[in-house]
Formats: sequence, structure tokens, C-alpha cells
Amino acid sequence: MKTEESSKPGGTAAGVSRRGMAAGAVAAMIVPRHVLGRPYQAPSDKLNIAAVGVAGMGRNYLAGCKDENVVALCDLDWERSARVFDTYPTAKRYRDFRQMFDQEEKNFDALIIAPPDHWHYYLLMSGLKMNKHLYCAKPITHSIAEARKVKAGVLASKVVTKASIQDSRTSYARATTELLLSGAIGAVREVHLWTGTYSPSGLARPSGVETPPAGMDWDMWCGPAPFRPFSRIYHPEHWRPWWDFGTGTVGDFGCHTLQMYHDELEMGAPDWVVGVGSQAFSPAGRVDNTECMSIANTVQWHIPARGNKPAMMAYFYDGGLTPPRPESMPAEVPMPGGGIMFVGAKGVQVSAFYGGNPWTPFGSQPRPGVQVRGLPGGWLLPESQFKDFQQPAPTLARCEKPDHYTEWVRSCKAGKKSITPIEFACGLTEFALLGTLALRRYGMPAPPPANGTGDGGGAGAARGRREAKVLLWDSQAMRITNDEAADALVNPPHRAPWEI
Amino acid sequence: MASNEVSSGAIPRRTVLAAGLAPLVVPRHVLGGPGYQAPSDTLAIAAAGIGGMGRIYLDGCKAERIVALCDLDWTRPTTQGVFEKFPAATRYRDFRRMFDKEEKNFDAFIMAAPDHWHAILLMQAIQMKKHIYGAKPVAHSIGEVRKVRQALEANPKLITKASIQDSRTSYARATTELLLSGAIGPVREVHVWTAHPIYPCNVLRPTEIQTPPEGLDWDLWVGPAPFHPYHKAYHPEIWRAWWDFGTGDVGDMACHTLHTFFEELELGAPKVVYGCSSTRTDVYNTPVDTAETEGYANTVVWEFAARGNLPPLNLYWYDGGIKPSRPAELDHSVALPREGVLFVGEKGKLLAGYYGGNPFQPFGRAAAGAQPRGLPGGLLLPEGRFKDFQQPPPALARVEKADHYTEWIRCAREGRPTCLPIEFASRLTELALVGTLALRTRKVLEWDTAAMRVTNEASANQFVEPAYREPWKLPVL
Repeated sequence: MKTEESSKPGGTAAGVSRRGMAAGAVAAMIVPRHVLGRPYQAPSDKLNIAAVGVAGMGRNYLAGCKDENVVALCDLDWERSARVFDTYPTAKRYRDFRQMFDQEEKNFDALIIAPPDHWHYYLLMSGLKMNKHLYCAKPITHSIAEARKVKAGVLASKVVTKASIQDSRTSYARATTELLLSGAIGAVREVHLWTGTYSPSGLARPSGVETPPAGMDWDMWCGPAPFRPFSRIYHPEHWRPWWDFGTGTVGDFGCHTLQMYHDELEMGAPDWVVGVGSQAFSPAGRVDNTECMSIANTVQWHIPARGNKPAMMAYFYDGGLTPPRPESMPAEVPMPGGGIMFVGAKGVQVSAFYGGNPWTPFGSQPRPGVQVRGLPGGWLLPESQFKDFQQPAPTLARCEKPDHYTEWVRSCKAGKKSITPIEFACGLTEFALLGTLALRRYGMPAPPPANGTGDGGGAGAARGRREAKVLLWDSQAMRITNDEAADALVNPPHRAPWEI
Repeated sequence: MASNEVSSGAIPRRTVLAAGLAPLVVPRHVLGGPGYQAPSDTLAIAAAGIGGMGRIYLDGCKAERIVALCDLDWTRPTTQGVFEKFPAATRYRDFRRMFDKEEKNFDAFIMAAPDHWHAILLMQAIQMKKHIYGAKPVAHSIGEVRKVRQALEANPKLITKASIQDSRTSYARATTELLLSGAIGPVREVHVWTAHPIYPCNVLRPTEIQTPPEGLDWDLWVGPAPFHPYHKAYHPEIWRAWWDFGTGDVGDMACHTLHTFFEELELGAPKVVYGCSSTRTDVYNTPVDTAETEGYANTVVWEFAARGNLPPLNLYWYDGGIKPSRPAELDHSVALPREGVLFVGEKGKLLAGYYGGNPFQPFGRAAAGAQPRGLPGGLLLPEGRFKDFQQPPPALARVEKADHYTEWIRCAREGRPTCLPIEFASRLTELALVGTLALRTRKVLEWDTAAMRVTNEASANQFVEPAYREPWKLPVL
């Protein structure tokens, strides 16, 4: 844990009068909920940890907690989790988390949740019921309704939680937030987010018959999601683009970037959203990929005026797509491969997707030959307008990346909130999942035209036509108000017996 | 042929324009009116590339005398269908042989081979002094496009037409006229989006050996392009995504929308161009570099400096299902159409059909279930501001889609220019091909139109006029 920067002498004395400079642009700051970085003494007792889903990202979460007492590990696929089991030889091994909870409930204090997205909700609610501290993979849930129930559950409990947003509250992420809060670019009108896609996408449901890994209960892997015959295109690793199990790139990566500005820009209640995705073809014709995310996707959210903040658009791009270059971006500078671009009334801020300067992601040193432009928090455009602008002095509490897991452990032991609690991540998740929902809705083919006339593009383009329908979102009522098919995705049922 | 609708209603276009639009396209000719009588003689036509779009072009000219047909692949049912439809036509596999044997027997030439063949075929036809109907894009490279244009300008008696079937129709003209009305003020951005490509993209060069269809001379099919062994991944039909043969979706489809505003907005000389394409990921997060094909989704941005009294403008291209930012003022009940154009002016926006016309009445027809909205030329935004605005009366010459092919025939017989000569299409093509430079290099390119070169990125210039594979040469006139 690093020091609480705002307690440093001079931390705020540099006098970035944020609220004044923001000119109505930026939300009230997040007030650190607690003072971090008190002289810390490790308690002699260790945290007893159980984990569900250990072979994927769970392996990294456990490695971050390896100095604790890992008492029980659960995974459906033991072929894949063998090396994790070997790392924690004293931990009991389970395939079925119900059995683990039955046998071990008294033996552990904290639960790490890292299976695919469609399992998060059930496990989080189970963990809350057992009154366990929770570390959970983002997105926190698979549906918006689940995110709201988890948020309510976490807020009503006393357990200590943290979400797997490893860059959140790091110096580089905070630098981006602080630069945004400085008001340099004025009232924010647009936020553009872009990142790559990391699994095979744009696919039709596989038709072949495949055998699951030895001993793996595939029906249980599907769990609360609709059942699909086993295929290696889902497991291991590649379930994220499949809507029944994952939430797409926007769901996977949204939280990783929204953590820096979702609350500051008051992005909690968009009033409409629309998404579109690329098509795919085989030599035989169009690939019917209604169950799978496209290889390139964009989402647009509209956020109405909030207080003195003007209405704002948020845009997400993946799979190689990038936003248009701002006029003020010098032609010799390539658009970063992933990033954030805030477009304000007085300028543009380009930052790394996970925070910090675009050319020093994760606070790294620049690669040889790469010219770093701008400030630790991002690159301000037009350059000439901001050439004397300084990065604001650090004022927000930090938790550096190497301390991400230990901060949760320490907070559990101390009984205080972590720096990235799950209720915070629920808000980010909800915003991202609205994007997922829009992309899923776009994937549903509209009925063919009754009179058989195409509207262009020939017969090939006419088949499987999709409609970029705008989805009106009533955040308070948690409803899509103008489209039943989309509204049904807000709170989809869980397959028996996994209802809660 | 539609009636000559040059109106005396005189919309005060230039004055309304404030910072103004380009000079109007002056109709180059008076089209035939209702009193028109077809001459008794018919045109003798030869065609190269008949199994794809060529069969549509031929069908549009079926009242003429089709004397010779050439296609490398006689196994395709489409090719066989064309042969059967025109039994009197002599059949060829090799266009060189057709030209040798038939040069004296035909007046007009239909060119519908894949893009990498266009320039050679067009130049040979120009050498033989044939009238030409040619598929867009006019050629595969910018260098070829300019040579074809020069050759056509030197041969003004050759009557040519490009396969931009919606161009100059009532619906396309309505969009141009609405734009020229100045309603939305000086135009700052134009966004165009199409629902193509509709074939495999983001694919890797095939490695398996396949046998070409019987009788297909694959080496000749590849012709001036870099050689790749035969594979179904290219032929039939799906060569467009491969940069060596096609020009991607932007090359294929941009001409189909640019015709409504290219001249009016003076889009001949972009200064900067850049783009991005979808990327493919294999299992275990392995990026797959599919740089030899376009992506399933591609975007291109062309930046234009001020032109005369027109302010700077950006032209944005989106394909594969990707669309521009939805305007906040668009009524929530309206989905952005699958394909379209959005003009962003200083005083409003105009949402139009991709091929021209009202976005909800593509090709001038009401789409099933769609509510009529806006004017024949498009929907002006915000709607409230324009609720009393009327579609300007027709002022530009029209050729309806049903007359697209016959207008070429008639003009060829009468020796007057068509409404859509290949010289005009070559300018649209060039702009599209500058876009392909950006997609192929994945760089921000500064383009010098006069010098025909990219000034900031040497690697891009290899695509401006790639050398032909031996022994192919572009005929010099």
C-alpha cells in the first residue's frame, strides 16, 4: 500500500482549484472513504481463503494472495487447474462449489470468485449469505438486474469486498482522473473508449460433437445459463464473446477503464444506448452469429445533462476500430491501439485505456524510440494550447498495482472497505452491460421485409438484416422502455436449479 | 428515359448557400424527351467477364446485338446462362483472342472482370475505339485510373458509362438538390455507411492446393496481379476482399454513394486520409494478421482543406455494419438505416439514402413498415427546425434506373455523352482508392493529389501504381 497522497504536505497546496476550473464539467470528487497507509503491522493470523474458478484469472488472484492461507480450491476442469492445485498443496480440492461450501464453510473467511461471468451472481450471493469477504472478477455480473441485487446485498452486509480492476486507484489511473478533474478541457461532451478483442468472435454456434475434459461436469459449467453442447470454442478461455456465458469485450474491459471517470462524470444513468457489430461470412454465405459477439463492435450511450454538466455521448470501439482523430491531433502521431479520448468544450484529453499517459501504459517506461507526449495523466490537445499546462499535484488516494490483492487482504483483516469495493464496480458493470445488451439486441435479426423488396446491397446483404434500434433506458425503473426483446435481457431468468 | 426535368422553377441555389457549395454540375446534354424514337439499327456488343455483374449489364442491353462473350470460367451456371441467353454470340475464354477475331464486328464493349483487370481491358477498348460500359471501380490503382481518364479525355467520341446504376435517378438527384438548396448550410462532415462487404474478409492466404474449374486458365485470371495459386477463396465471386485483386469494400461501394455529392462538395483532392479495420483473433488471444484482405468492418476518414469558399470538410466511411455516431436530435423511433449518408452542415443535418433519396424510401420505394419521414431527398435534422422546408423542385437532369443501360446505348448511337461517363466515375474511384491506401498501410497519410503521391509515408506509394506481373503491360495510347 502506498501512502495517502492527499495527506502529504503540498499535496493539494499546488492549488489546482478543481471545481472552479472544471467549469461545470466534472463530477464531485470521490472522497476517499478511509485513510490508507497507516503504519501497517501484519497480524499474525492469516486470512483463510477459498476460491471458485482457479485455472483462468483465478490463478492470478490466488497468486496475489499467496501469503495467506488458501484452504480450498474449486474448479470444474481439473485437467486445466492441476498446476494451480500443485501450487497450493494443502488446499482441499473440489469440483462442485456446493460441496466445498458444505464442507468448508467454517474453514474460510474470504472467497475468491473467478468463473465465467454467468456464474458470478450465484456465487456472490452465496458468499454474502455465508458472510464471507469477497474478491470477484469483473464484470461483477452477467445481467444488469444481477448487478443491482449484488450491490444491494454488498451494501447491506459488513463483508469486505474488492473487484478485479487491477489498475484502479494506481498512480497512473489517478493521474488520468486528476487531469480530467483539473477542468483543463472544460465540460466533457464525448468520451471515446477503444480496445482490442481477445477471443475468436463473429462465429456461428459450433455444430460438431466434442467431449469435455475428463471428469468435467459440463452441465454444471453451463449452470444458470442456457445449456449448450460442449465445445472448445467456449471452454477453456473463449467463452467471453458468447452472450449466454460472457458479456463481450465491452463487458470484459469496460470496468477496467470506467473506474477512472464513471463516477466523476456521473455516467450512472444513460437514457439511451445503441450498438452495432460487424458481419461475418464464409464462402457459403452469411455466418449466423446471433449468439456470439461480432469481431468489431461499437456502442454509443447518451447521458443526458446532469446538474451543470451538459449532455454527453460515450462511445466504445473494439476489434481494431478506433475513434476519429481529433482535428488537433498531429498527423505524425498514430492513434494509440487502445485508449480513452475525452472531448471537452475547451480541448481533448487522450489517455491510456487503463489510465495514464498513452505512451507509458501502466506507468511503464516508454519503449525505445517512442516519444512521450503530454502529461502523466494523458495528452492534452491542441498541444499548443496546453504547452504550459502542468499535471495537477496528486490528491486522490493511491493503491499501486503490486498492492492490489494485498490491499484487499489487509482490508479484510482490518474490517474496512477496500479501495475498489464491489458496490463501486457494480455501477461500472451496469454501464458496460448496457452496452452488451445493445450489441445483443443488434444481433437479433429484424423480420424480413413483407413486400420482399430489399433496401439495397443485394440479396446477400438483405438476409439476416439487423436494426440499429435505439434502446431507451429508464435507469430508475431498470427497464428498456421501447423494446421488449431488449428489456428481456435486463433480467433474464436463470436455468433451474440455479434460481435464487 | 425520364422526361427532361430541367426546371424553370429556378431554386436560388448559389445565393442560399452562404459559404456555399461547389458549382453545380451542369447537365452536359439534353436527354431524350417523350418524343424520342429509337433508331432501327442496333449496337453490336462484346463483353468480357460475364458470370458476375456482367450478366446484369448484358441483360440491360439485351435488345442490342450481343456478338461476342468472353469469360475465363465456363463452368459457372451464371456464365452458362448468359451463353444460352445470347446463342448467336461467339464464345471466348481469352479476351485477346476475342479482340483479334471480333474487333471489326462490334461497336461497344462491356467490361465486367475483377478490378485488377479493368485498366488493361479499358485501354484496349479505347485503342480499338469502342464505346464502353465499365464496372466500377474504374481501375485497381490510382495510377491506372489516371491513365484511363487521360485516354478517355483524348477520345471524346467514345461514349462511356460506369456501372453506378442509381446515379442521376430522381431519388439521387433529389438528395443532390436538397443539399444544394443550402438548407443545412456549409457542409463540415459527410458520413457514409454501407452494409457491405458481403463476402469473407479478415482471412489468411490459403495454403492448400485446389484445382481450378475445368478449362479455367488461372494464370490468365490472375493476369497483371501478383500470382497466387488457384483457390476458391478468390474465385468465383469473392476476390474483392483480397487487395491484390479487389479494392475492398470502399473500392467496390464508394462510387455508389459519392455520385450524389462528390462534385458539389469538391471532393477531388483530399489532404489527409487514415482508417482502421477490424482485426481477427485466434484461440488463446493470438492476433491473426490478415493484412492481405480488408477487414469485415473498415472505416476511412478523408480530410479536405477549405476549397474556394467551401470550409474544411471530413468525409467518413464505415462498412461491414458499423455506423456513424447517431445524431442526438434524431427521433428515438427512427433507427439509423442499414446504409446511408449523413451530411453535417453548419445549420443542420441531412440524413439520406446511401444510393440517394430518402433514407426510408431506398431507391425511391417505400420500405415495408417504414413510416414516410422527411423529403424525397432525405430527412433534415432537427426535424422541428425544418418542418416547413420543402423539397426543391427538380432542376438537374434525370435518368431513371430502368433506363440506366439503355441510356448508354442511345448515347452511343447518337454520339453524345452519357449522364455518367467513365471519366466522372474515375474521379470517384480515385477518392475511394486513396482510402484503400490508408487501409493497406494502416497509417495517417498526407496525400498530394497533383503529384499523385503520399508525402509522409513512402511505404504507401507502392500501392499508388503497382507494377504489373510479366508479361502484362498497360497499353499506352
